[in-house]
Amino acid sequence: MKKYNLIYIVLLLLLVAASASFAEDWDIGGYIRSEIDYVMFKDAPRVAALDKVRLRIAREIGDHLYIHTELVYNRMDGSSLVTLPGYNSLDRCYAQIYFPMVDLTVGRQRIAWGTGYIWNPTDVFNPFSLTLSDEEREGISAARAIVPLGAASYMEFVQTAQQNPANDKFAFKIKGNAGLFDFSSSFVKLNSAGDNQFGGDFVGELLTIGVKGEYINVFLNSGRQYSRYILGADYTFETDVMLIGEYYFNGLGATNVSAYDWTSYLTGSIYQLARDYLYLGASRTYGDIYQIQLSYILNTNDGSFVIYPMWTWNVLNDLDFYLGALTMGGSSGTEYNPNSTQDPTGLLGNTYYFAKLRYSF
Amino acid sequence: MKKIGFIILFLFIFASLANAITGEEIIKRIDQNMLFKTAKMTARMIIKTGIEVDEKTGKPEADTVREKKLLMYSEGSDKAYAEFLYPNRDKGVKYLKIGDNLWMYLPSVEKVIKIAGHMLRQSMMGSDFSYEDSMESDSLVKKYDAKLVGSEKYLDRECYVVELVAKVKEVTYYKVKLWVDKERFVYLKEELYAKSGKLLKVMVVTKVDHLGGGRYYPTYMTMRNMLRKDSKTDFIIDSIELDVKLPAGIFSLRNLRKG
Repeated sequence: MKKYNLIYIVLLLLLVAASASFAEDWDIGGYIRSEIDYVMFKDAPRVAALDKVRLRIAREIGDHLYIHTELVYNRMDGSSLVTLPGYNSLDRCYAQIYFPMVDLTVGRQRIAWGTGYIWNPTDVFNPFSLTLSDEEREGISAARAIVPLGAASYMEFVQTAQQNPANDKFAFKIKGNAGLFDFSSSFVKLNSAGDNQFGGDFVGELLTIGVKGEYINVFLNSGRQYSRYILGADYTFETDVMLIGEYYFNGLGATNVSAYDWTSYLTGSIYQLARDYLYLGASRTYGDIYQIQLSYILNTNDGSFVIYPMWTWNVLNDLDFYLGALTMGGSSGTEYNPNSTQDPTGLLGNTYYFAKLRYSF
Repeated sequence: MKKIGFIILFLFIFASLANAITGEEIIKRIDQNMLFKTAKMTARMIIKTGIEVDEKTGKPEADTVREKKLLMYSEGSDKAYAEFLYPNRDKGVKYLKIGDNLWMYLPSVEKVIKIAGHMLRQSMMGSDFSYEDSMESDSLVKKYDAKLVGSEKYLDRECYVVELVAKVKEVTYYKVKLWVDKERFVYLKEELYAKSGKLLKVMVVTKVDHLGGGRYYPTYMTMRNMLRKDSKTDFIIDSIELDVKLPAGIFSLRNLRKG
């Protein structure tokens, strides 16, 4: 019964929203998404159905206050890959207060740091993970203050509030702009154990090529330190074909498969196993109606890879249809094609075919 | 008698030269029409794709039509802000231009993204306008050398035909050909060329509004990206207010992130 609670709340809210006066003041929107996955598991093919509702309710109150909530309902059915009953979550719930010199955001929010396309080493709040990737990254409970220094520059302070207080982070970033480049420097106190991170990023244009980069250096309390960085470039042709390349150096990763830390990977403590990765992407849009994308991630240390082609069709103004596949491959025992001892969930190393419909309201 | 004839001929040529307008004067007059201190606009972008000539009517018909609504603010030629209001899938997408920098806010990822390099050439929201086109508001005089190459009638209006060639590197199109209304100094047709001479885009203006004070402004434009075979985008300005007071801090990254 519990899983239907959100539906009742949603219906109730929509009913209330039907009142014109209410709808005038409130911003109500979101999407409904239905997805069918056909998975070529190692033992046998399986089918899974995934449904998701995301409901945004927001309101600007006067010139100085904005409140925003997003309720999410997820459900997975069929011969499930993993047991995932319907569940609700309040993924965003925050208030923004605008003072003359500072914008304060308190509550569960998305804090998106970094300039990279795929990997964001500076983003300590919600880094990229293949196994956790969804359309939106999860929110994080935090208080954030942004102090504008100019039209394109600001200082940012973040204090997170996590379930385990030992993992609470304090972060500071200063961002600026010079010529055609944006750049930032940041410091993050990663936990109460005294682990710290210094970093920075840039994005701009060099000889008409879009260039991006991020760098961090982590100083652990134990005295050990490591770095991570990305370098990326993009180029768009007159025909609307866009090419992207990105290299990721993960100083915490291993170059030898036998040294991979599978336990930390599967529990979500780390997001990559190896040291060197390469991303190549190509996309092309046809008006606002069709888009084709091809993404390729290569673990250059063990040769395993992910190929992700997708075709998008805007059927109606607010209705999109997606058709795609996600193939993970490589030698057995590698990051994207692990054996059953390394990955007991069996989620990696498969080919997923998917079709989904998404209606925005 | 011959002398008198010469004098009349001389006076006639002198008078003609005195009245002749140069290419540069024409684009200065266009700039006077198109540039303003501040502006607030609401507009629609109608993207038509899959255009084919209907066998029955003989007219081009679009297979699919997508309409988008947006709110725009601009200050001089350096600052511009645009926010999409419709459809729901694009609602909340915002753009900010300051000088040569362009940023985009995507509500789906809640992130400000800088658009740089050739990414500026990409189609804006699937339309025939690129990011560069949509944020272009610089003075023509500053960027181009202009040459008057002729006069002809276009859309039943007497027009000057002016060719512009870039005199600075930072231009989207190396060569531009304009058909400028002789009376209103608004261009009714614009052809945009690459340095190679290849025709990239054609824009046609089908409605011009008088905004008072002798100022005219195009309010219905149709852009065709010639590299696409079967699409065109109508850009319709539904309302325009010039030299108005704009919301404080509208041209800032701070505003881009606001809810």
